Amino acid sequence: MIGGMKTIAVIFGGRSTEHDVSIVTALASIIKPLELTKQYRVEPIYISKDGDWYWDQKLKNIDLYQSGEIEEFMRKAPKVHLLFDNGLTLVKSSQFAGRKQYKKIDVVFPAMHGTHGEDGELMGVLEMANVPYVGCGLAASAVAMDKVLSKQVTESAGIASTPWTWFYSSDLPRRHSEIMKEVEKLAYPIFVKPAHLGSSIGITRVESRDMLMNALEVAAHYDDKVIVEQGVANLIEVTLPIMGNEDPLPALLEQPMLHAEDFFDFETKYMQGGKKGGKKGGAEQGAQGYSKIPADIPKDLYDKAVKLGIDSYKAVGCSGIARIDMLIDGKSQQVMFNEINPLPGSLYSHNWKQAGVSGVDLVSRLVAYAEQRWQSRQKIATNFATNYLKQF
Amino acid sequence: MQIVVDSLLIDYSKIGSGKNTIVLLHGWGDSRQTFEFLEKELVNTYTVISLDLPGFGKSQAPDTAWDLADYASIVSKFLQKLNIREVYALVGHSNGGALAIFASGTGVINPDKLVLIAASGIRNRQKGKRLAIKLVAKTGKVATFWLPKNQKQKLRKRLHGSIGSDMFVAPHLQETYKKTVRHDVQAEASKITKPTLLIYGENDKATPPIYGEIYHNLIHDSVLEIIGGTGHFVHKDKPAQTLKLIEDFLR
Amino acid sequence: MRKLVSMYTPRYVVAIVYMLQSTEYEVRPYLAWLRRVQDFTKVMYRRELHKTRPAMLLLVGLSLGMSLQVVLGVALIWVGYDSDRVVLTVIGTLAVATYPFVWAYGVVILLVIGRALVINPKQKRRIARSGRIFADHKGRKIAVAGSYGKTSMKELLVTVLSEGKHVAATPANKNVALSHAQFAEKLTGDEDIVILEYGEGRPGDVGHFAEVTKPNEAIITGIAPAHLDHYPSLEAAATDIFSVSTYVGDEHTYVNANSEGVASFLKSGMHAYSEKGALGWNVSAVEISIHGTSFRMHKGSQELVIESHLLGRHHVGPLAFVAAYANKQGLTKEQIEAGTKKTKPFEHRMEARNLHGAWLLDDTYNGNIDGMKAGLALLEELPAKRKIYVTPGLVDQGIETARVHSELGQAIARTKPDLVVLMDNSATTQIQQGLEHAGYEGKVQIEDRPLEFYNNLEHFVAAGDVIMLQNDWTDNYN
Repeated sequence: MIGGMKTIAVIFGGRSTEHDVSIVTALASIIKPLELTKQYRVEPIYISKDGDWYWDQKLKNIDLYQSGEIEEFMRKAPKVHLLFDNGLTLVKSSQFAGRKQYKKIDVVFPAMHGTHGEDGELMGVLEMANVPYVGCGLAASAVAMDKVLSKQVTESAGIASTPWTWFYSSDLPRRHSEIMKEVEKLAYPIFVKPAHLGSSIGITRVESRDMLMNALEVAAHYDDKVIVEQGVANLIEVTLPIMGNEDPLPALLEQPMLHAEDFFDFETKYMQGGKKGGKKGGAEQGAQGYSKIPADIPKDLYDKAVKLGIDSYKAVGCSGIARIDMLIDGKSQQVMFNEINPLPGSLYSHNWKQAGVSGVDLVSRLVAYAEQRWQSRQKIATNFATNYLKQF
Repeated sequence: MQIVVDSLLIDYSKIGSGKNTIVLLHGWGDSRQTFEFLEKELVNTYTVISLDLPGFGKSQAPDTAWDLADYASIVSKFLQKLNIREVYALVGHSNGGALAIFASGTGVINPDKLVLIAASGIRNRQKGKRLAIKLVAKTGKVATFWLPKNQKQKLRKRLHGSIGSDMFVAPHLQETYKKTVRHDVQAEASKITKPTLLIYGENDKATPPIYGEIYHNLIHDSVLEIIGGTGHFVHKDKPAQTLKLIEDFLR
Repeated sequence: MRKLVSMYTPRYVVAIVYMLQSTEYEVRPYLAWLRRVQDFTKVMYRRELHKTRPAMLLLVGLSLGMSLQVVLGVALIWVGYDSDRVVLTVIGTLAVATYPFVWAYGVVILLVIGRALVINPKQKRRIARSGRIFADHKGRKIAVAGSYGKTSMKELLVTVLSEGKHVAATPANKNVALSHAQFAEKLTGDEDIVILEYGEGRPGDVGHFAEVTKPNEAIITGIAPAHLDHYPSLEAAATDIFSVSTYVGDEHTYVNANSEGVASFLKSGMHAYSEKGALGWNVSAVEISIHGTSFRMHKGSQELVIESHLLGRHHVGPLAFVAAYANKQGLTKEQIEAGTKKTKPFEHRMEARNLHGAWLLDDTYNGNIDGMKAGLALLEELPAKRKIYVTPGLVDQGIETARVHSELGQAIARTKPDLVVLMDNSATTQIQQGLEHAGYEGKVQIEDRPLEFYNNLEHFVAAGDVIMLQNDWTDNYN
């Protein structure tokens, strides 16, 4: 080991539709800049689509995944064990018979998107291990990844959103006329979404009643909860990456550029990212295709959106980093909370750079936030001396 | 677009606003993208519905092994769910053609017209070839058991590919494939009374023009067109020519 | 020691051919380089061998020769061992041990012979022919000489004068007698102005060029210790460059007075130009930004408004001179202003690029101390949240190396960048000493893997940063 360097485990991949996106986030936007700081030793942990965990320096190489050699690697490589020793230690069997390789982890950097990772599950494991980790905690992650919960939480903090409703998928066959009635209180067009998934999968824009039931069924097919939202007129979509713990720091308000299609589907969001031709004036290509940074809206509206973003970040209890998506009615100038993403793809580093935070700077700060949060958590007394056992 | 039919998520597109509806059925291991060109052209006159059959493209795979009857049934339910009561024409390529024959012959779907492009569904013709595949598969299993799993897969893929087996195109559907392979639809074809256009490629090895002749004899009101210089994917090799034949036939 | 070990690696022969190619198969710089190298495996750390025919021939020839020598040596050892003749064994061992030296120096003989017998006589005839073409030419011939800034002066002249005249100029970096000859063959004869770049290489070069090309006027762009290898001193180089004035006359000699090196050679009869003015024109209202340079020029009641995309105060003098010279040649105010507006940086010559909101000043083809200082002056002048300066230092500084790098370090310190990134090499400590000497208080980062640094630059920068990259190839970074 190189003296004085901290060891950071970056966890990525996972049992999610955004498995591949997670690999890119981890390798390009986290591991690379972490290593460039020359202050951290990075241990990559890859979770396969089947949920197997692997730990190997080779996993830092993008070619491994692009060439498909990862299959071969997984057949041979030993899986990793996690050892909780009031902290986290990685364990795997090495080539020498019986010998085991150990690596104590100082900080964990989760790079997971979507289910089983970004939604708080992984954070629960890390909390149990009592190891500092980057990004939102268990509760904030779980709330953020559930669009119903995040709306309920922000709404109770007085943050506006477009009219919406929700139902349990299991209720759809049994009480479908009630649900239809409830949903039709909203004005068309409406958006029907599975409550959890991160990407656009299973989302339908519905213009009229005849397509509504099919859309509800599709969303219900993907998730146990379905959220239905009323479309916003004169829509300006904006998104704001934020980082920090007690004093959140916003990046620049970003305005994704909508295409001829009314709506992003999975392909335009992720698959075609790089094929959209040359850059147009002021446009920056991010994880979501092209966007304007900063958003091209009046100053007071801009400030309003930034404030609403920070309020939402605090209301949900985010720490480390998150990205808030907001909807603006360009005419009424109303800003509405839409959803919150606890681990934005590629950390939204393209935006942070425009805001004056380099990639190297960003990951260093996030690690510092993680340590700071962990330290302040240690101060909160959780152990009380009791004589309960003796009395028993 | 997506829709849930019988708890299966089906990816489809429905475009155009013509009075008459055309439904496109792709072949084994293929997806609705295969009809991209036809779809784009036919939409000027018709409402065109094209779906990824369960297990292909972006549609969810069924949990159990399906046969043609299951596929015919899901297509029928899918159309019901979309409120399509009348199908003007059913267009099928390869296995989608066999499916179209089965669905029309058994009355599960009642189109006014049928277009069969390199339709399969004639199974006793290629006994010799099937025997060869079987033999290679069996000896292959013995000869390759010592190889690592991925190498074995690769080798088998190559072998099956070389003698024209589609089995590995959609590996998760191996049982379903075996079931459809066994299904001969000549009996169903003989029950078809609607006008039928048969298009085959001159150099098609998978479904040779002789299949067209067999169906031509079985289906009373049918026309057979054999397009020169093309193989199994007639509609992709000669898109304009195929389109012209279909448009004239449907007019 | 590392040098010795690295000579026996397989990369060695490739490194040798690469060095030959980079020195354009010139014997002296090649030998100098050969002596200087510390580790042959690191020679091509940043660059690659261009697979040209001569290079590949040499590569195959040298590999074969080396292999043959080793095989022969081994055979001798074996025979000597077998027949108990110690002499043979010793010779064999020597043959095996010395193969890297024998061929690295042996190849020089090949170069010398080839040059003397084939190339030189052919070239001499061609140069003589070009002398007659130049003598007969009716156009105004301008010689551009100096140890830096020649190419940009030439391009400035072409861009601005072309607004009203038929101009021809020697192609980029084709500045020796043979390339002048090639250029002469392509002249049509009806050019109004012919611009000739003089690339000095060894004492007497400039005088020789002048004899052949017969210029009417000469511009001396500056003197600095760049490529001094063939000149015994800076003094000697300057004397050579200034010798052109004896052909055109002092009254037809224009000198960049902003260059410190010219001071002791500038005579009162010559025309000096600087950021203050040129040919009787006065410069005022200079504005420098990341997007370009602008200023006004006055002479009597005449005014010129100059706007250029060139970056940095050091361009003001040359721009003012070219504008004044164009005026003297009869170009109108409109023509001159339109012409100067078209001037922009060459690739990798103080070229500004936006990278995720940060400004990258690509000055990677800069290769001399005065040019470096000009870049540093620009960096100092531009507003930024954070300034980063990146360089490996300079090559080919001859005996001046230590002094030049210490000077560079001090110049960097005066600019006060927040971060200085140095590519690890023999000049690094000298630059660091210079930094320390001038009391630099910012951060210094030493990079031992330049390519990795450049390729990952995007991870280091953010909006508000100005990053200056000087004197380094970044072909992999675009």
